Amino acid sequence: MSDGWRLTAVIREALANLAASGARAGVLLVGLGGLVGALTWAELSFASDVKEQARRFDMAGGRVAVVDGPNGLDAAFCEELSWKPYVVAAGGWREGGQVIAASSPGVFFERWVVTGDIVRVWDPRFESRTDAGYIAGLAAAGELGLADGGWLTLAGESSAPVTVADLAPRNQFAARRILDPVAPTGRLAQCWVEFSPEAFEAGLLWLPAHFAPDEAAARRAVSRGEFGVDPLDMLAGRPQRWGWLPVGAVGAAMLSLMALFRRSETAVYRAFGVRLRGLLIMHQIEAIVLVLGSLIISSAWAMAVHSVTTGLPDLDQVWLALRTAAMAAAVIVILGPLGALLAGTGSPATLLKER
Amino acid sequence: MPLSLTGVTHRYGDQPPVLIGIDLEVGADETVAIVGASGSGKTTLLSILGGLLRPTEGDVLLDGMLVGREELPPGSLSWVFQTINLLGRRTALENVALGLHAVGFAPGEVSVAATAMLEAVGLGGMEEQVAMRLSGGQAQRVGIARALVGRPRYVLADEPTGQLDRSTSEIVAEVLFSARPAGTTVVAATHDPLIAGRCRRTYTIVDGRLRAER
Repeated sequence: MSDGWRLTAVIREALANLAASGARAGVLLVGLGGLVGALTWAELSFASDVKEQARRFDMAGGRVAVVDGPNGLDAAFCEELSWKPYVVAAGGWREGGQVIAASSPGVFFERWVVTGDIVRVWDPRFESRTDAGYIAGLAAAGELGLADGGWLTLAGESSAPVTVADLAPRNQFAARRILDPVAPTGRLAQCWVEFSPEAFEAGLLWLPAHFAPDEAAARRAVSRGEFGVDPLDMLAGRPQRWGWLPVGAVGAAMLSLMALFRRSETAVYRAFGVRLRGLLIMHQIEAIVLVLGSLIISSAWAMAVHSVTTGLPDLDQVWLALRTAAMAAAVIVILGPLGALLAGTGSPATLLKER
Repeated sequence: MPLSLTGVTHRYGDQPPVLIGIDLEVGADETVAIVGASGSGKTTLLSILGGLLRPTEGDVLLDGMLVGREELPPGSLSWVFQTINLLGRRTALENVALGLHAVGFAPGEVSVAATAMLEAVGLGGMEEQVAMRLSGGQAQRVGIARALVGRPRYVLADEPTGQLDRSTSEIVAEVLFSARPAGTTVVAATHDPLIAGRCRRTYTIVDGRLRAER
């Protein structure tokens, strides 16, 4: 360094000051750790709530659009959607008349003719489409004593294997229906489309055009009234996302205040040739050590508490919380040495007389 | 080129001037005492000499550079403070090392040089003592070691015995002048005859003006 002080000497001096002032460093570690830890914990908790909300939202069909039109829809257009990259699943149905199971004469069930992917839209636990046999909703299967993989014989028809699915969470009317998968030809009453989360809003707007020239209208399968706000919007709009600003400001104020208490020490360094730049580096090194220490300790604490009280956070939650905490830490490191700079620009002659 | 003050006047705010039209020239290897009553402006004059305070009027020059406005080369000036101002939680050795860091000493040589300087001021074996646990006299000797260890051209000593008793002052005065490296000038603001008596030149500040005594 041109002022005589080598950079290594400045860094060693900063570390030695920290090591020599264990109590001060400890107080700052606890103070900064409390601030950063609280922020981390708040983020983890909120993300956890949102994650649960998002799970319920998705299970209820939060990203599912229902398309219908006055003259029905072309089944091929609906089927085509199921191969789009931003579509999780897409399938449609039309009424297929009333049927009677051979095992329960006198009890009528509605048969819906469907395209094979509809079972993945109505029951998200299904990972593949069902193009053969029948699909029975839980209510229908219960009444008929059907088990998944069993066989169903409809009056006047041959027996076929049955897939039992819980269709009610997304379409309660389907719970007592016998679904009959067919090739995607002809017309459908409705087409149901589940989008990937980021594509849903745009997809909802785009769907009517996809079915042109059919006159089609698309709506959400789950009304907003039921969930209020999309969990993704909740996450993006959470107030904690700005928490790094006040936490960073308070943390920086703590460091600055502590530096002001050390102004006679600052004056000694100035009198012995440390320039303002060196002083800034010295205090920034101290800030980095303290902030990193508090970030590691408090984040580990917040995650441990969260794991015990709420459950192990997943990587997304940890990333979200650490990103906010790291931003607060960056503010503290950048603004924390301002107090030292302020003291350093004061008259050393005056500061040296202060204890 | 000497350290020189030309037409230096200084006042604090709206107060009457503490120093009026001071001219002073201090060369190499000198010992100069600035004496005067409390509040006469000794510390102010020293602070101006060392660039810690800018005079209201006049200039301070060292090698043609304006002291306090331009960055002086490392090792130009060093300080002994009345309030001693050691880094309280650091060891005696680390405090002395500040004077070496100020002149860009290589880290590997700092410890040896600082230890030798502590020996020179009579504090051999106290290298690892934490500064806040030293007695006043010991602390001021560490302060003197810190000021002298980098072999500065000028040491500005502000009331170096101001907070010490008589017997400790004698030791500190002895150390300040005996440990002074050849070529280093000491300018001391003092009201202590022990310090003033050891200086070749003495000036007195009276009513803000500097008067040569000898």
